[in-house]
Amino acid sequence: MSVKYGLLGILAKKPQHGYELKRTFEQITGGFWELNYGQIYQTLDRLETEGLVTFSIEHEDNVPDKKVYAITNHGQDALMDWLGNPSPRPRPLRDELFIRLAVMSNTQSSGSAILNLLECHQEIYLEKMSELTRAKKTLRQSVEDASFEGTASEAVMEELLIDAALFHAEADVRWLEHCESKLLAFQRSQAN
Amino acid sequence: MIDASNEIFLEDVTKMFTRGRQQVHALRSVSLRVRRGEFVAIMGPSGSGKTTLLQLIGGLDSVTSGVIRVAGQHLDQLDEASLARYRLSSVGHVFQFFNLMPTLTALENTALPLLLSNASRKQALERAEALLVELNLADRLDHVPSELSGGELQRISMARALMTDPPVILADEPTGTLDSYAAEEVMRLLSSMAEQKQKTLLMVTHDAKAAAYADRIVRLKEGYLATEDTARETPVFH
Repeated sequence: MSVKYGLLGILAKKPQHGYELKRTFEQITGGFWELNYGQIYQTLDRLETEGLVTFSIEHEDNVPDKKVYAITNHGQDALMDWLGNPSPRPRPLRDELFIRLAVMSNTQSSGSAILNLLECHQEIYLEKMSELTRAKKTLRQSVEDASFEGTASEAVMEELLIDAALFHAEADVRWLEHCESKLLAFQRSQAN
Repeated sequence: MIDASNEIFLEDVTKMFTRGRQQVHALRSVSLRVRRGEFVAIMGPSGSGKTTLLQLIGGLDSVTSGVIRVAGQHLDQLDEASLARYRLSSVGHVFQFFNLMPTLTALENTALPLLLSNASRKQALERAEALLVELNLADRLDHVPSELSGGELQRISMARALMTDPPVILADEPTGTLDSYAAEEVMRLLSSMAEQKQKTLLMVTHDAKAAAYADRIVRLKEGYLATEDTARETPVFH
């Protein structure tokens, strides 16, 4: 759903062909959301069937023809409608770790195996957070020395997207610490 | 082996407290090395020994056994007078609750450590002003703590920690009372100041976002270091 409106939003600025759309989409989402060509062209086909975009063929010598997509009036209306309305439900929370923990408790895995798993995940998320913080530092640096390619507001948005990833990882670390403390307390209470 | 490039060196450090008739291990055989100019974050749950570790390194408490050397000085061998000198000149502290004097201005609070040493008042105030300007507080010099925000108070406490130009900065939950925007600003400034001035920075924190600014994260668990390659110990669960 958000890919569909993301592409419409990009086309509302100016017409683009499939490859450009992929690049722009990944750029505005700060490199956190990669699209494959299958997704792009499938979405564009659907948008075209729904009358939200049209395309024209661009001829160039020695290269295959390109389809250049443009937003229609109907597409503009749909985009405005989407932007004006919040998502109807919270994001789903899916994580392989939840399944693992559920299965581990079913299979009578030892407490220490579960604690090791939690510890391992904490390390992974902390490392991810360090990586994101370095990315943020690099981004700020590029804004300061004027090597950032884009407007100042695009830089702010990119930093906010890195922050989103950081807040998510932080929530994971906090939950993992919480699990660890609770399990340790549980083990102690069982031992007494 | 003692390596001179290690600004903070702990070997097999144990710290025990007596609580009633019980002996409590606050730290168990901790070995830690922090290189000069390195920024290390120490994370761990409450009661894991984080604060004890910071107090030992700050010279505010002494080890039960083990070797502790900071900025070239063997803390386990110093007498009280040398320890007092060490505390004033070798380490700077940044605290969770800022520990600023409520009746002094930002400038005076910052200048305090140098006013307590032999420096002249003029010299102390000039240096304090320069540091506060570096920390974007030029327009706050004459404000008292009650007129300042949490982020500003923490930046003043950072400036104060840097006053005597100590080689080591110890930070105890520096973002603990700040909202996430102020916390980010404090961490950005703290890490870049430490980098520019080549300070060795050791920070204890619960805040994973703050820890992510460090070069390395070390985790303490029930008095053991859970992640330190020089002393990999497996905690025992009872």
